[in-house]
Amino acid sequence: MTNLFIILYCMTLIYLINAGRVLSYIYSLAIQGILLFAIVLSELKEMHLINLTFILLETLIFKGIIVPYYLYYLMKKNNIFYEREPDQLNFYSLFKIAIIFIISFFFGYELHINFETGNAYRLQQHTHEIIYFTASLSSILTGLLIIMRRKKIITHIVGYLVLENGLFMLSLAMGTELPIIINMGILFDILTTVFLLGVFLNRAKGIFKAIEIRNLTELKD
Amino acid sequence: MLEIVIIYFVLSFIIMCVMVFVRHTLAGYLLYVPFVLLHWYFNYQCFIHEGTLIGQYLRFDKVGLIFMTVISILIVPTVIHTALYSINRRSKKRIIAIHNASMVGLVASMTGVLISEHLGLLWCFLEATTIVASILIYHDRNSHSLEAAWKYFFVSSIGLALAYAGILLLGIAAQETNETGLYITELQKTTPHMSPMWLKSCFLFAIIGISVKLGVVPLFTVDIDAKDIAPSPVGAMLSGGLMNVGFVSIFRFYESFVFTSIKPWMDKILIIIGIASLIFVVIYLFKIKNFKRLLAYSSVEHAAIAIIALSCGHAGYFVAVLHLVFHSLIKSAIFFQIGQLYRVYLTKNLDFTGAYFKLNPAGALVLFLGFVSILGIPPSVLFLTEYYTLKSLFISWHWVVPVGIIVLLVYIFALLSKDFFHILFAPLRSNIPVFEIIKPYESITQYILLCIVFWVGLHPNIELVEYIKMSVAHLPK
Repeated sequence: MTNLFIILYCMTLIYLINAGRVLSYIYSLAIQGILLFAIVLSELKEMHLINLTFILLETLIFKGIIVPYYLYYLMKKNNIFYEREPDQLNFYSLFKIAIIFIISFFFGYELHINFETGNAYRLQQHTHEIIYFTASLSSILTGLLIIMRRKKIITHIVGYLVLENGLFMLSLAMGTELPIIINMGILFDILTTVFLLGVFLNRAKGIFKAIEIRNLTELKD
Repeated sequence: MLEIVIIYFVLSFIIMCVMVFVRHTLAGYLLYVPFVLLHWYFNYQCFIHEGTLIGQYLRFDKVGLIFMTVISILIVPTVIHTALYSINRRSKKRIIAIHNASMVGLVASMTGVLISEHLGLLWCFLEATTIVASILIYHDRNSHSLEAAWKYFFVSSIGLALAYAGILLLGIAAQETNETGLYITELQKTTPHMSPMWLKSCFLFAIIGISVKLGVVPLFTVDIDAKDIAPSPVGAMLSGGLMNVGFVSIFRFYESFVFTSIKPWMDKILIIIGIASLIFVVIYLFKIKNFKRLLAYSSVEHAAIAIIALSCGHAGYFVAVLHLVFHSLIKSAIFFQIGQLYRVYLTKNLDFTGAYFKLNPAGALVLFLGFVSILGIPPSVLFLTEYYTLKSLFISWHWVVPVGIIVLLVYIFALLSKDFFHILFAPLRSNIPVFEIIKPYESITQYILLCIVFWVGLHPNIELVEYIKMSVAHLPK
């Protein structure tokens, strides 16, 4: 079941890289949040109330509802509906995401088999981790690709959130969890970051005519 | 002691909140008094409980305490110059209130990084420094400050996300050896049993991510913009405080892995980053006309020297810490003075400056002494630290490496001194307007900072030197 959710998650990455409308980005992020909740829930071995509440808060509430809604609010307020200048044709984007998946898989595979002895039996032992690792690394690289290639500031925020989702998946691959107090700190930091990025985006609307990255290139040596 | 830590952070948070809502300028600045006293008291308590592990997640080690003391010293002149900056600029009350609260947040979060024992907690505090620092950079509320704040905030967040990925990779390595904690002291014992491949990945991600805080290659560019656009007192805190925090963060990863087989590899990475940073500094110094960016690049140079010293083994660890401590004091003094320099000419362009000794003798003397110190000319302590860095480089690396670094440092020395001396001594052309005559008392805090530096340079304090040596004594010879 977990593998199915991870595959669905990877499909949202393919959709994200090809999307042109800001609303599509926001929907994809919301779906990713829900899928992350499903993945964690299906992986949960013991059901503690604190754990469940925190996971619910982090994935479903924060990643699935609050952040997409906040982005929707920013989109409406600043009238940014399209990522108007898609860098390449869709075909090339598909090509790029395919390369990202291949690279991620090879990294996951190589890192999880024993380098010194080349033990093949460890592969079976680590298959589950490789799947997690591939999806998380793909998400991180997709986030970076969106940040590098897109022009709108709001799309950059989306790229950052995709990257953060990838890191969340990587933390699932880690198996042993970080202490809850640190997880809370991380969640608070990310929430504040997204909020502040939105504040800066709103300010940019007041200063520049178009909220695009090319406006932010004045500072040079 | 845990209670004192909680009280420190809770009270800091309360003071921050009160500062945001107090819109009376004088009352806002008076609120710094309880915060500074609180910070000093906390620093004192940390010294008393040095080496103690507090509630699993915090530890007061010598390296952290040294840099915490530097922040304690810098906070007073920073507050004074922040007040002067806002009065001169006639900043809005709301902006001053937000600025003050962010400054308190920055100091508290930097302190948090310095006392973190858990790598996850360290990351949380680092991210918190990014949030408050970007608010400080956005102080002037114009297109340039927005651009600098956005770039700093976004690139720092991405960088720290990569550093977080590094921490998670370390978690995977720990899991393979059935170790669960990411506590620095524990990691020193457990990392030798972990897979070197994971450890290398972790270190690489961490150093790339945290490079934005230290201000070295690869993510140093946003740091330059931030120091250029932010008010001078903020620039001083970024160069004098946050840079050290970045160094300590990298040092935490380094000391966690220093007993493993990847130590020579880490040293190579550090020296590559250090040399690459110096090369970038030389390239950019050729074309810079902005004196604030000049100082920012000088910070990159000194961060690179510290990183290079760290790669030189046991002799270098001590030098790296000593170098950064005195760099903080000198660079902060120069940044405060640069704020006054801007008020005189109302431009940052070097071509429209000159004859500063005639226009503001007290300030020009600070600038001159600061330049002498930052360029590493005797009796500056930085002369000693750079000398020891080069000496340990000759011991640790092939002679080509130190010779190459010497060539780069000579270039930097020549380029910086050319521009510095232009500001101080070049004849003032008739078409350059002078906007303000600075009062000499505004430079007192800068003299105090420089006096500390020269006093230690001329009369090396054995206790201080021994303390810094002890701070890195746990690392392998």
